[in-house]
Amino acid sequence: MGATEIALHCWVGSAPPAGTFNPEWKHLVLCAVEYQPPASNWPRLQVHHCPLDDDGSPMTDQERKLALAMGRRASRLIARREGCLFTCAQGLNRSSLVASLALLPLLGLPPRAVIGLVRHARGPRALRNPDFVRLLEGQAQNQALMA
Amino acid sequence: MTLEERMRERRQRRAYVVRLVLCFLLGACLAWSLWTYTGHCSERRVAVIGDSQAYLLLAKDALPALAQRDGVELFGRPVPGSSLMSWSLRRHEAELRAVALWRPGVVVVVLGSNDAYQGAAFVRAEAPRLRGMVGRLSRIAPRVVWLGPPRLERRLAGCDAFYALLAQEEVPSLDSRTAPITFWGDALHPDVPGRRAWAAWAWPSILGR
Repeated sequence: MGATEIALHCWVGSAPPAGTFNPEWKHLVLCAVEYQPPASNWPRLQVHHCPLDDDGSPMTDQERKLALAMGRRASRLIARREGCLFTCAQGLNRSSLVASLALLPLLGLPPRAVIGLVRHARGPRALRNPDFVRLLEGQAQNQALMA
Repeated sequence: MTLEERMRERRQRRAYVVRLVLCFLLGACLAWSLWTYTGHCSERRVAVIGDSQAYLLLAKDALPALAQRDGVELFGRPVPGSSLMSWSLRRHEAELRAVALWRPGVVVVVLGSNDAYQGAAFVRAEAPRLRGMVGRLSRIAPRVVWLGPPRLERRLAGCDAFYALLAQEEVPSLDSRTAPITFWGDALHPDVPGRRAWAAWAWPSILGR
């Protein structure tokens, strides 16, 4: 499985095999609805479940709420320097969305910048789901500019 | 030689050996402390604190890449969203304690952007805070380098006031307004080539070259 550090303490990767571990990670966020194995597969990591679909259909309200809640929680974890690995099937869209939602309030970066960070690390195919991009851009509305 | 004399001689010999061992232990302790102090406080141990600018500069392709190339140990404790004000109000004590325990030779402070965003008047009132902060950092590391904010197009007055404050307080600083930094659309945070360029621009001065 290929994981990339897109920002300090924030990693994105594809579906992790059981037992995957890196001393820099403390949390594993499983973002693919089709890949939600039990937490016991990763005994050395704290596992969070955030099942999202990426079949081309628009995001449901439930999915949006789930992604936002996970993003908020992950933001606090990253701020505490607890390494988070966000994963989905390929590590391109769903995991990148939740990682970006975590980084947005933490860094005070504009959504385009966070998307840029993700694409720089994961390649130009990352975060191409327009629904995900819209959700990210919607989050920046009330965000104050800060470094 | 009487029995008493022999006993006295033995006692004297034992006291001499004990004194010798104690002297040796004391010497070893002194040598060890001197060795660890010079080793741990060397210029090749660089700690970075600051706001999200510091966080971005600590991305693997920026400062860590340069540190690895030059065999320098790097330690980062950035707090995105923080400012000179929040650090001086001791809101990030855990971070400062961690830096102090690591015993760096150089502390790089990347702060000022969020203060500059509060405006020039706000920055001008920060002199006592800056003095206090630099004083504390000087007790942590032999050398403190302030990596000031880049040229903040949207807050030029605040940014200039911050540099004026650094000059007024005679804080050793690097004027990042002249660094070749490119930004994300917010004209505040360096983009990927920008953070690399900023790190490469500042690195020789951080090492005191």
